Amino acid sequence: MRVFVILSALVVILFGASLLIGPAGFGPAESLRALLGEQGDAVTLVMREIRLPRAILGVMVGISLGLSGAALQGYLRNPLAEPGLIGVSGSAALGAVIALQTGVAASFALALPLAALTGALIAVFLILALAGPRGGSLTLILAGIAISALAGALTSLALNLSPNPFAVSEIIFWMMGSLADRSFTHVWLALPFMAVGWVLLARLGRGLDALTLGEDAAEALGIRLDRLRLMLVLGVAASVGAATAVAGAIGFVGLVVPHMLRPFVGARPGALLWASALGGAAMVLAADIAVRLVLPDRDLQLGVLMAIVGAPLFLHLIYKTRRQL
Amino acid sequence: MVVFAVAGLLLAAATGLASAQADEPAAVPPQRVVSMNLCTDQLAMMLAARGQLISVSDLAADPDTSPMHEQGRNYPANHGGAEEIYLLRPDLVVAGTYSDPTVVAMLRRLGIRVAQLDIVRTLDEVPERLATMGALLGRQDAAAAQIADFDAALAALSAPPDGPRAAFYFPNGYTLGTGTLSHDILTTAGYRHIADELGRSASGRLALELLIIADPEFVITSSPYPGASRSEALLEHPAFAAVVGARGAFISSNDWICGTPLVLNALRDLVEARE
Amino acid sequence: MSLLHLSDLSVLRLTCPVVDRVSFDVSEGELIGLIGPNGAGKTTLLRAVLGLLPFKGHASTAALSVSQRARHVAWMPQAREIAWPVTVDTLVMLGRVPHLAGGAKPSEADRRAVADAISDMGLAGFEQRKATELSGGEQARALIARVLAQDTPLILADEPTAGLDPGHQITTMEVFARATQSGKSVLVSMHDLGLAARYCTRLILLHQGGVVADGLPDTVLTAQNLAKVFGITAHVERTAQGLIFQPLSVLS
Repeated sequence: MRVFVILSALVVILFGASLLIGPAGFGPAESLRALLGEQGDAVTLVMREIRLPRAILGVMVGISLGLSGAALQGYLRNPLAEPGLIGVSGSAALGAVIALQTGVAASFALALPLAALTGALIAVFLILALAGPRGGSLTLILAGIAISALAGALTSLALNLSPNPFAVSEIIFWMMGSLADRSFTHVWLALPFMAVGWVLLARLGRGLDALTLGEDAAEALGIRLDRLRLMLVLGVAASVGAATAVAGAIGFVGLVVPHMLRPFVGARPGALLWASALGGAAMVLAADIAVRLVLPDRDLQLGVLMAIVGAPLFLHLIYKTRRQL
Repeated sequence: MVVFAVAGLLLAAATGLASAQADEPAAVPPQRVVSMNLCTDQLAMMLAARGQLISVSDLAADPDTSPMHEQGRNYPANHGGAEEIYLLRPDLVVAGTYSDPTVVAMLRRLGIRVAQLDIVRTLDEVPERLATMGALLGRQDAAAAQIADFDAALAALSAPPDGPRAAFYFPNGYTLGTGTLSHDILTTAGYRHIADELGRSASGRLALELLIIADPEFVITSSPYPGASRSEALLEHPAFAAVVGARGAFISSNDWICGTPLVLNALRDLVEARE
Repeated sequence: MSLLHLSDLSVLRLTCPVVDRVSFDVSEGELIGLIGPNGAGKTTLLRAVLGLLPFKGHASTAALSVSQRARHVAWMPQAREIAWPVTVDTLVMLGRVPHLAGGAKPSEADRRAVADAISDMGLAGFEQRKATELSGGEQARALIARVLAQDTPLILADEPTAGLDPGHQITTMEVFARATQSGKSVLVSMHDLGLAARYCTRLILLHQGGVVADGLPDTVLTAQNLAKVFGITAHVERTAQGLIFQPLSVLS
């Protein structure tokens, strides 16, 4: 399939570019030699311990966000649904912050992503309960606003109560997200949960396709809707939770990517799942490259670029679908 | 952003030649002196006569920030507020040049003499601050004695610049430039500072990649606060651990913060670390 | 062979029976019209048969697993949802979902079923058109084509002809009739008694959840039944073209 080939190639190219961009200015040849070679020198250290985990994490986070956005939109049959907007990322960040500030995260390694997953799970449950399959766009957006606002406020409170003077101003990292200064520790921390999430979500294709005809018709086509809903909830919570635990809340990826790729897969929700996974990886990698090129000395958050691209699109979508609101 | 708060703390805490408002010493030495800055606290505690200093800032008793926290506990603390300082009825207030300008202006409007001492950027300025504080307090003799001790000890601890290449790396990747007191302490102890190689005169954020490429043999950092933060998590990065090596990073004590004779402790620690 | 067996099927909303001890059998080759006034329980009965609602009593479909049921009976709901702008081709192919495992590519047999269904409903040439851009009538026909493509022995449809022009209403009923010739059965819930009278081989009249009459259209559409259940009078006449039915007036 042409779309698959193009998207895969895009991800590979952006992954390579991400490896070659950074404040230490050594050329591509030297970078690749250091990455693949055996020397233990400084360049190898930079390539293997800083650039490589950052690029890998970009792909992982992008897949998680794109896949979750496409799955949520397919289930809710609403192009406005995405984990950032409906408060799932924000709640995951709250879970992560609570785990860190109470010291639970330090007690055992996987506590951090588990706490983020729990936060995400609560948000997904709330959203489905409030704006479930028959709920419309208006309920969805309102519920999302409420959950995001609450999660954001509680996160800020948790950080303000921290004995650590640095924690107070780190609300911006949690709310906007960043891949800077991450290491393989974060890759291994997030990977098991993300992998589980991806497997759960990838299997929803058939059910989401059938849901095009509505729930009654889909059930009559043999789709177990309760099982589908459970897999969706767990899959989104696991993948978005893990992504947020290591990179903060990154919004709009799950909104922009499915929207842009929908025409290229014939609007089929099942096909959109893997297309959005690849597209999400490409988008996060591209944004992470851009933050390093635009303001190299400052710690520009990834979410800033996402919002610049995503928020206007969100407004456009609201305008287009306003008659259904 | 928080880095600036901490840096602001460091800046506001150091003392220097008064850039304004330091008048000729009064004929009668002040009897009720209030200090509202960490570094003026320490200088005042070192030089004041018994009963002359009536209040120090709340940081003076904080063991994480003040090297004289035990003495600091002996004085009532103020929190740098105009109203509370006014109510102490001081005849002299000593502050830093980066102390809250609104408070300083308010105190002056109320007729109180406020002397502001600038931050110290080189070791030469330490005797100057001692002299200034001595003049302000009418304790010139005590100041002269301290200056003499300081000069002697400094000469003994100075070393030629053939020591290890060193870098400062604090939470959030904050590093110090060549125009800072810490740089002077480092180079006087005989170390070479990578800020010279990188041409960085101002302090600011240094990407971890650049630290690794610079490959210093000696890394100076701060001790972590309780609780967790992403800023401090950077110092747990495997790449940072690789640079720091098996010996670990050198933890800078709070003797480094202010331009007082206590910087000699910092110099001593550095010289010992070379062996 | 019985395609559907219902025995004392009841659906209760709290204590009130929306469907009240309904019993009937459907054998092969029948085109059955399920008729009754609004609120008679027609849709609820069909949904219970499909396993979408809990019920008391016995339905032969309940013994089937979910995937077996999807290959045995196809359902066209009244709400004609098409959530995404997919092509007509893709839409009709959704009828093959019960026959395709997740991720499997459609086989030659699947594609043939889809093509036949599309041409049966007069949508040949519409395959690449976006389903959401079609007219209401064309969308209805596409959704019926999906049901046909599902290729099940039994078809349940809820108001499949609502909103279609007379030509396409007739075509739809003729397609259902043609399907019964190969042994399939179709159970259609409809308000259009004229169409039901002409094309259905059997009518089941539902009133307040219970079966009032079950049999040939002539025997069900008596003046007495029409008065009791619908509160109307009508002109019923057997002609060379079949049974003609025209409601006339409302009884006070």
